[in-house]
Amino acid sequence: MARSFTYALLGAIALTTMGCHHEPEFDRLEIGSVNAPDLGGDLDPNGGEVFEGTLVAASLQAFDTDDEPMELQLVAADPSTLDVRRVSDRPNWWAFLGTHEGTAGVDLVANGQTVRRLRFAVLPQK
Amino acid sequence: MRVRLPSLAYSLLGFAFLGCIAGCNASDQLGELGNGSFSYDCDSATVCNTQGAADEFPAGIATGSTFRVSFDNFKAKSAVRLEPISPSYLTKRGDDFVAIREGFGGIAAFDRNDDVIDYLFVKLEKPSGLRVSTLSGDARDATSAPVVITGSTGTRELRVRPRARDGRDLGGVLAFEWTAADPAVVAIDFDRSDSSFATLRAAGTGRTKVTVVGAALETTFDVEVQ
Repeated sequence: MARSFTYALLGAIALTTMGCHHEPEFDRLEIGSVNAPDLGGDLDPNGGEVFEGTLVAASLQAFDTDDEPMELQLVAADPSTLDVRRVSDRPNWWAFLGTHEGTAGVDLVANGQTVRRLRFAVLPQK
Repeated sequence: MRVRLPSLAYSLLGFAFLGCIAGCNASDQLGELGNGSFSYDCDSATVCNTQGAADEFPAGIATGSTFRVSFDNFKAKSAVRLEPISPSYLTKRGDDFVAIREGFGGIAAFDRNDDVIDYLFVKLEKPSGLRVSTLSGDARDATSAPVVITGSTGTRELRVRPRARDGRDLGGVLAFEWTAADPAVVAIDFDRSDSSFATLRAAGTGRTKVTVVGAALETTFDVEVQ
C-alpha cells in the first residue's frame, strides 16, 4: 500500500515537472529592412511577391514565445521558381530570387523544425 | 512592406562612393547592396579607355547580344561567381551573359558559400535600328553622306552598333553580316568573331551600296571610291 502510494506520488511529481518544463516555441517573424530597388518587391511575414528575373533582399528575425530571437534557416521548397540564399556578411539577411514565374513556398526552419511555410508569387515584370 | 530604394541603399551609395574615389572606373556600377561594384567589360559595342575597360556601363543592352561583367568585392578579394537570376531574361555561355528578352535582367554575385554578396539589374532592350559609324577620317554616321575612299589602296574603318528606340546606343555584342552590292567597287573585310567592325577596301572606282544585317535589322549606306 505504502509502495503504491510512493509510486503514485513519484508519478505525479514527474508529470508536474514535465508539465512545467517550458520549451519556447516559434511565435512570429518580423521583417526589418528590405532592399528592393527599382522594380520594387513586396514582403510580409507570410511571404510576398518577387518579380521574375529580379531579387529582393531583406532582414528577417524570428522570435519565440518568450520574445527571444530565434536562429532561423530558410529553405526554398521549389528553387527553380523562387530560390533563397543568405546575404554575405549580413546576419539575418536573406535574398529571394525570382527564377521563374509561378508560386513557391519557403520553409522557415527554427530549432531544426519547420515552423512555417511562406508563400511567394513570382510575377512577370511590369 | 513595399519598398523602393530605401534609405539604407542611399547610405551605402554614399559609403561606396567615398570608397570609389580612390580607384573606380567610370564603367563601374555600384551593386544594389553596396557590397561591391559591377563593371562592364570592354567589347566592340562599347567605347573603351586605355586601360581596356569600358568608358561607361551601358544604360541598355541589346537582346540577343552577349556581354561580360566583372565584380569588385569591396570587403574581400575571394573568388566570386556571377550568375543570372532568371534564365528567362539572361543566360550564361562560358563567361558571357546572353540577353534573352526585354526587361530587367538580374545578375547576382555569389561567394564560395553561395551566399549573395550583391546584385545588379541590367536593362535589356530590343534594338530598333543599327548605327554605322566611320572610325577613320571624318568620324560620323555613315548613312548621312557617302563614305568616300580615295586611291586604289584606300581603306575606311567602320563600326555598327545596335540602337534603342530613343536613339541611344545599346551595349552587347551581336553578329553582323556586311555585304557590298558591287564587290568590284569595294571589298569588305570583317572578322566573324567580332563583326561589329569592318574595313572597306577600294576594289575599283565608282559608287555602290553596303548593307549591314544583324539582330533582324539592316541598314544600307553609300560608298564612293575615287
